[in-house]
Amino acid sequence: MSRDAIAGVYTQMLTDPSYRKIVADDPKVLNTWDLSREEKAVLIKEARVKVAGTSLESGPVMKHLVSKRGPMLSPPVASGLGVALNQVAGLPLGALNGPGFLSNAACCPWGKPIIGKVPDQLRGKGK
Amino acid sequence: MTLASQASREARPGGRWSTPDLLTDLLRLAALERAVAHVIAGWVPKVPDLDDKLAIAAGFEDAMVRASALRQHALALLERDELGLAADPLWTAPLRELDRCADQAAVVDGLLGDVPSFLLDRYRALEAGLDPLLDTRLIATVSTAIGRLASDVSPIGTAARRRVHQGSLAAALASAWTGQSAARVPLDDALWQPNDRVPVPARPAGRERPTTGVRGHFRKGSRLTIEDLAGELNDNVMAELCALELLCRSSYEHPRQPWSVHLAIARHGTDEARHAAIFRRLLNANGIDESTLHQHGANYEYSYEFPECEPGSERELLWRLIILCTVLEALAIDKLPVEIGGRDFVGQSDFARALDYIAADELFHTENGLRLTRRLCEKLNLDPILERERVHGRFFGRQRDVRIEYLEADADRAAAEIAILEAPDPDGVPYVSRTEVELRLRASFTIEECQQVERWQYNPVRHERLEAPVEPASS
Repeated sequence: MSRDAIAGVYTQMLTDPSYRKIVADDPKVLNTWDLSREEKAVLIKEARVKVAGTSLESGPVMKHLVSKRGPMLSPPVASGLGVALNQVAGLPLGALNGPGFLSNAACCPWGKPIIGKVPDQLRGKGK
Repeated sequence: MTLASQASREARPGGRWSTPDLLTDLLRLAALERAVAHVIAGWVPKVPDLDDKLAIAAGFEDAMVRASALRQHALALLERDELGLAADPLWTAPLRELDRCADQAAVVDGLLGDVPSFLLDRYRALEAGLDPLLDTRLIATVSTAIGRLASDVSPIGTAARRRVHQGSLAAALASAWTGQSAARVPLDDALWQPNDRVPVPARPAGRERPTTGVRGHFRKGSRLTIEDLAGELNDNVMAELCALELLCRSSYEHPRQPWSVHLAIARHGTDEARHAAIFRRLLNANGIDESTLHQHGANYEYSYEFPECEPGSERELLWRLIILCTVLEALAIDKLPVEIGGRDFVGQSDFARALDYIAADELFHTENGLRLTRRLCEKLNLDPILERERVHGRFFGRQRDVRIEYLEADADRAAAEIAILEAPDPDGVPYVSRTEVELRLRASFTIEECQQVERWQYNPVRHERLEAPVEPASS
């Protein structure tokens, strides 16, 4: 459950910046969780560094989760962490619904994809 | 007492096996076939002409199947000693050169002409020396290879597209077959690293690419209009091509993955080539000239690389397979019943029947993708649900961004499109989708993974097995 615990605390830090600050300033708050000493250190380090966007991938907690073998995260924790990471990165959390989109959009091939940008350097080369 | 020696068996008059070089022949053919699959996988996205693209793609799975079968036959003769599965890099050198070649026409000519012609000759020569009883199982493999390579029908059911081109490649293959160097490498390591990356797939010259931010196809009227049918079928062709091409590059850019992974990818990819051929046949049957229609590579371009993944990394491979096989193909499982119902509702039976066949394949594609991605997640110590959440956000985030830019650029155009999108179905088709839990479970999704897609809110009707309230995503 320890992996779930560190992922859960990190999710809370991502969704609530004030909680991140609390962890950074008063690490004792982590004692209420089932965390190892190493995991607490990782979370404190995470709380004290500024990470955003794609650098989330290389943050202390994500690195820890990848480097430590153990049971998989429970589905709600995994899903919750993914949602939180996407939210911080400004990415959609579900289907592209709403004006200008369609509720079944973006399903290959039945909802039609939206045409993307082509890098300029690739234009004019038969591609 | 003396142990019988292996060497004396090898020195037997006439050789240990039915032909003197049987083991070497099998290893040579296995290495060649594996290399052919590698070249095909690398080049499919780089060939612009759709007939040529599908013709070379059609051979992907066959080459990989033959390579795997020959490897197994060789392993049996080696009494399962994997160390004996070795190849001389010289054998595949002509194909390595072909792959490096910048001349797209020469590559297509080679893959449709010299290469199959050379392999056919080698299989026939091998078959002629085999013993009908001692080599029964091998004969089955070899005669199947001969039948497939000589057939007038391609492995995806289209007319075989052959090139007769006895040029330098043919000579190089013949020379490599008889040549020998001192080098031996494990058969599994006999491939070469990718020569390039291909972020945008090639499409036919002269066919217009739609404006950035527009939907690939935008239904403005009845399904029964030729305009809508053309747009719909053409966009399906593009989507199938994108899936094919992404799978091909996923194989080519990761030559060190186990052969079983490449075989699984090749089988899926060849299905996609066949699906593209099915939609092109429907276009043709409806008198639609595809050369006048748009072209794009949207799903491929959005799935090829991600800022979160190092280019060429296994995580990038994982994200490609997750988004294609376990998100998009799985959403097709939910959406196809509605689409098929709609086509039947308006009397487009041929279209509906084609979709029924394709729907049956989607279950395999999803199951295959789940197996591959779970294995990769285990290897990389990543969590499938977490990774699926991340790549889903990135893939659709890119589409959202270009779409919003497009809508904001022209308010009148946006209003007109929104009015059409929000209007009732033009044909009165009454069907709506739900997360198809039974189908997804049969494809090896877990119920928690079904909950994940339910939370994404693609499907308006809640399945009775997903009764537990699912928190809607708040953006």
